[in-house]
Amino acid sequence: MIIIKMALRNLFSHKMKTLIVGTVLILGSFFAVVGVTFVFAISEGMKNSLTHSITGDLQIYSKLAKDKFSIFGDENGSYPDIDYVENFATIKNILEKEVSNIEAIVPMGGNFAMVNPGNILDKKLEELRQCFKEKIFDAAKILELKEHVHAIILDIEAQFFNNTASIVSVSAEDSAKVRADLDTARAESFWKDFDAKFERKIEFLSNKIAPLIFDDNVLYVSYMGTIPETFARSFSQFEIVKGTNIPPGHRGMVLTDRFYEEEVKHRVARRLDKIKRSLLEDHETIKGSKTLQDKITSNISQSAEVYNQLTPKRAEEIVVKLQAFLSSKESDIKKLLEDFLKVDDANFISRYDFFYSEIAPYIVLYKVKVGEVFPITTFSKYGTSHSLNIKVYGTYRFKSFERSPIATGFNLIDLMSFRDLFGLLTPERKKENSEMEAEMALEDVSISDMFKKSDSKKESEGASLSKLKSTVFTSGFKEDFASQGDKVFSNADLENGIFLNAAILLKNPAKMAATMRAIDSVSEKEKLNIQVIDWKNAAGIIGQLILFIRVLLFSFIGIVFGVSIFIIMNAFIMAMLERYKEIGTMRAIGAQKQFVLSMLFFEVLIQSVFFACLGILLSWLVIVIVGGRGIPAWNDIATFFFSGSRLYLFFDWWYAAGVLLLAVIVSAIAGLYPAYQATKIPPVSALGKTH
Amino acid sequence: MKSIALKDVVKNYYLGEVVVPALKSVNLNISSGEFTVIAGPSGSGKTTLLNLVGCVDTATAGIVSVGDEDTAKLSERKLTDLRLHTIGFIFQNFNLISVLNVYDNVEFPLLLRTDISKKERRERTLKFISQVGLEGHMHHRPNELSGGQRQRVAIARALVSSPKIVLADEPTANLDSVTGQKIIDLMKEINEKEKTTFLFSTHDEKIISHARRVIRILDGQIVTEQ
Amino acid sequence: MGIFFTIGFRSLIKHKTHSLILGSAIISVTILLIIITNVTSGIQDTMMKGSTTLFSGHVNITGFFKTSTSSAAPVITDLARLRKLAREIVPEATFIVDRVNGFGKIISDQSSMQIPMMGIDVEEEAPILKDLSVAAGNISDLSKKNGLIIFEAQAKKLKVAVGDRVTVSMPTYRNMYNTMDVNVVAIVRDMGYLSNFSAFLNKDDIRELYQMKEDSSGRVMIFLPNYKTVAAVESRVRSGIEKAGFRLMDKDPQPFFMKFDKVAAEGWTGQKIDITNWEDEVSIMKWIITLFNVLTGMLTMILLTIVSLGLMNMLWITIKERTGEIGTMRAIGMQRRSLVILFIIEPFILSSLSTIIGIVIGLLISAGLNAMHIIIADSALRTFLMSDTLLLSTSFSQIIITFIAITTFTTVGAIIPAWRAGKLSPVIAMSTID
Repeated sequence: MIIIKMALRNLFSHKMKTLIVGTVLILGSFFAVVGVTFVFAISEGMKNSLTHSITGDLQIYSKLAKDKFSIFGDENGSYPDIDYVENFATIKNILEKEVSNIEAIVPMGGNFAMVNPGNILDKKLEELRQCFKEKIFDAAKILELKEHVHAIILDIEAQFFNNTASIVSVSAEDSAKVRADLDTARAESFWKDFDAKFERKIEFLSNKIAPLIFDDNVLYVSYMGTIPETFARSFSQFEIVKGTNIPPGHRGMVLTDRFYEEEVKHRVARRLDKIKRSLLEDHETIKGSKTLQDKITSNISQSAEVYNQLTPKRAEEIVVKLQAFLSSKESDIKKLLEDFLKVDDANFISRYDFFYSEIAPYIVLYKVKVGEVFPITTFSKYGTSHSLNIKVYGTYRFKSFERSPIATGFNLIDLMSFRDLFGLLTPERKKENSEMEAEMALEDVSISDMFKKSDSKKESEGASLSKLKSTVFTSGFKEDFASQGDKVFSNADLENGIFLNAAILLKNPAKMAATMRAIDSVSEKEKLNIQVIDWKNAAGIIGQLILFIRVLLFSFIGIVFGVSIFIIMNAFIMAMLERYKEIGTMRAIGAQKQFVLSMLFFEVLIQSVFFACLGILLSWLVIVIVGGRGIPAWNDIATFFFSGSRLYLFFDWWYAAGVLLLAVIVSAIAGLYPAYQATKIPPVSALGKTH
Repeated sequence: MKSIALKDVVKNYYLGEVVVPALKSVNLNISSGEFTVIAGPSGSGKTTLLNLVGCVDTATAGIVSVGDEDTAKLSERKLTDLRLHTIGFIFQNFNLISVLNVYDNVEFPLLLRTDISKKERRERTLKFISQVGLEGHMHHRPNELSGGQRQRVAIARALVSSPKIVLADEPTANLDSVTGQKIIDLMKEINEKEKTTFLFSTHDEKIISHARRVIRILDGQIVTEQ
Repeated sequence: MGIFFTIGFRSLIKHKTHSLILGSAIISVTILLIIITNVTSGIQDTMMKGSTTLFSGHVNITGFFKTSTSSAAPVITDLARLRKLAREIVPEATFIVDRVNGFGKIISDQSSMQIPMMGIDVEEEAPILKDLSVAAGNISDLSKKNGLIIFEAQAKKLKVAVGDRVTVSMPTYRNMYNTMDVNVVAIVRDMGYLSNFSAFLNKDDIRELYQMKEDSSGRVMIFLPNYKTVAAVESRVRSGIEKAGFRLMDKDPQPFFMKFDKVAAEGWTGQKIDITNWEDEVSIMKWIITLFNVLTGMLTMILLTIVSLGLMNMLWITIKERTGEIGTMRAIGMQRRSLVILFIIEPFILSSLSTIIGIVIGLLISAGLNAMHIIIADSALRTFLMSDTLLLSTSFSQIIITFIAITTFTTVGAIIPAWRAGKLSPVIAMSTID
């Protein structure tokens, strides 16, 4: 007891040393706890994003795979060649029977496609076609659309001969063809009997005139082929946001809501949405945020996307409305829109509402709308292309990480369509291909001729490529959708086919290693030819990133505490020197070496515990205050790491305990040498001068 | 000429809450060129008196003037300067700088001054080292010297600046009687040659007998003079 | 002043143990800092070397041509005039070349990949291409038509060797695909992560694939003798090109393939020129450097604070021990300020010496690591370090900054104790003697 009392008093009397050691310990423990909390928040966040959405706990795929599996693609940015596994139903039944820890197996297959949703003329022609098909003939609307189409044709003419010819070498022959087509399209005779022969007229415009608009608005769609209800059921955080999930037995796609709102939505509208969210949810201001100001600037420079999509009639109406709204006398729609889009904190909400009520209904708000059918084309590794018309049934998201870029990168497609698009050249496939080509009414391919190489070096494969391309976007193909593409299939069809990889969700994730071994042995026994990897390996480079961050963190902490040992040791040594006489006196009076050692030990203990706790307390404050509100992600990369737009920190008592222990150990090590020296102080030094 | 004058000087120390009066109304005049001893038992206030004269401490009340200047009116900077140029100190415990050798220790005050050239520094240092008879030990460190030698270094250091006043606080306390005598003789010699005022404190009666003037002090007050 | 250094130095030697411990702490921190900054420097160097060999000059004249309001082709026209302007505006350029930007698929028997490709003129680019280390084949064979140069990683994935035939397929307008058969004429050693996204075609071939006119190209690349002048040259080029009548795009530090989306949405048509530099083209990877710097900075701050505290501690004790000496010196006539300086000099000597030793050791270790050409096995690490081997590089200015930073930071800790020492009244100082 006396030892402890003395230890305490000593600490108080030697203020300087205590302060120095104390500060070092406070700093070290503070940094350690905050650092560990931060890094674990990031890695746990990323892990959850992955295991609860894309990777599951484990992934299985073919043992014959040539490349290592990585769900995000490999180093070169393309999908790894993992071959395929023959029959999902077989694998599923065997594994579910023989391995007990399996909660669910979800088949997957990743690929990506390019989608051209059609340019403005395509869209307007489609609208026009729909109008003619309606039971009730809306003359006004048809007139409106025809006017717009006419205006677009004039634009095309100007752009083609002024601009395109500057960079593309067009032969005189082709140039003459284009001029002839454009003249036809502008001629009065063309428009006089339009309504009567609308089918042929629209087809002409679609095949000959629409391709003259060079549109680089391509959508890059990365998708995952799966069984939609299984996916929805197995991932508990799954929820449909717009529309519905793909109905069982039907082909279709469900887009991620993030993809829908970020890539598919009209850019100007999307930015306005983001600004609104920043203002209302994140409590930012336009004045104080450069990011928001940049968004506004982009909107203004891209206002063409708005006025180019408005029909002339609609444009006139909006001019009037904008003039009233902005109290402006400007009559040019372009300038009015630019003024309108120059929003600030004061006028944002009213302008946002105006945009959605008066402007959004008349532009192409989504390149591909929920409920619409659109053509999707993929390229297999052999260079062959495959296309399908697919209906978008709705959008989905994962409830807790809707803002994380990781979890939201995969649009879902039904497994049947996936297999078709995957491009296995099986005999059935080849037959289907030639059947399809015969079905399509391929008339004129002059447009595609103009842009493909006329040189004989070109492969015949490539020729059929372009042919396929040019027909994909016409309405004729879409019409066939109902008859050919929408056949209902059974669940057995779905399951009795190939799959690339599958996510396995475990009942008890803690038993991962054992489960993996079980799967391996079942695969051996039943000759399933599959291999299994954990989520971290499946996440490829992302998984390794997480590991890397942790390693970095622990080395940092190690270094900091390592250096601290030096400093603390020094402080202890100095203190020993100061107390030379004091300790000598104690020994002279009759205290054993043991006593001195115990006293010093308690000093070290009390000191390290006290100051480490202070540091931990400080870190607790910071974590609760800053981490509770959330650290905002300042750019896309940060959003990726934070698995969302904010990183929340949670204080964990186990981490704190660990750091406390570490601090005590560090102090003990630092104190070892000085304490040992202290016991060697001879009692004789009590008398006489200090050392 | 009055070199040092104390008028109604009082000095109190504070040990926590307790007031310890070290000097109780002291009046003293010392002229230039004197060789004076302040004698008294330990705790009588001799050291305090010397501290005040040496401008190392300030009086609680009264006037301390050195060279006709009231020290209370001088800034800290000026006081330090005064100590550098006008006053020399010799301490009981020698107080040499342990990491410097004899030459450097003696030279030290000159290095603090900005008005002396390198050449002159060298001359003076060597002069005073030889005056105390330590030419042969110039590169020795204090821990390589005997007590007497160390005190001689201290004296050389105190004199190297050619101060008008030299204050010595129990200079022979840590020396044996023979060495102590030698030190006093040396100081006397310098006093006669350079006309430097010497004021030193001691309680050793043998040494006191060698002084021309003796001021006895007891419990903070001057008792007698001789 | 000299005497202060003498006293300081000798005091350090007197307290051997403490000086050693604290000195070692400073040395370790310095070594760590030197190595980390050298690694970061190495990454930056790799980035620049890769960038300027693979797809960028020090300064580029590039841009977009919009044939319609919704298109965006990374093409510049009026090539001859632009090259001439480049020569005139930057007469000091070591050389100027132009390349055609491309993006498409390479398809072999076994596999395929989709990467950016550049159409080059092998003869014109000989000085740049000499930085490529050839593993097989002959780079100059690209001057013949229908050739392709790829990197080792790509050859491995595609499972091809020199002489094999592959198909190159590029999406042109309106998602039409043009294809061409080419032969692999050379396989080049990887240049870290960046070369994964690179391949070279004959300029005429790629023009044919894209149906481009003779006087159009992708970018004019300007190489400077001293890359540190990039910023100044860039602004000269900007004003020069603008004065010549070209429309300029706003500065946007991103690689060109990240700008498609934005440009496709803008309402203008025709040609606009974009002036970029080598850093813009690798800007997506710059976050790695920023991350490293931030982490290093934080770590260093914490370590130096701790070391400072140690120094403060030591000084404090020293002063306590030498209280008598302090009193003596003040009594002799030493001003307060001189005393403070004296007591700052001691830790200053310790830190500067330790820092210098640390720098020397750190540099030696860096040189040694470089010489070992350590191969990085882990692919994530490869991505970060942007290289297959560990590269460390030093810059003189960095060493100076490190030295100043560490020495200053650690000496600053000495100020307070030294100042307190100065404040000590000579009396109290002297009385402790007894």
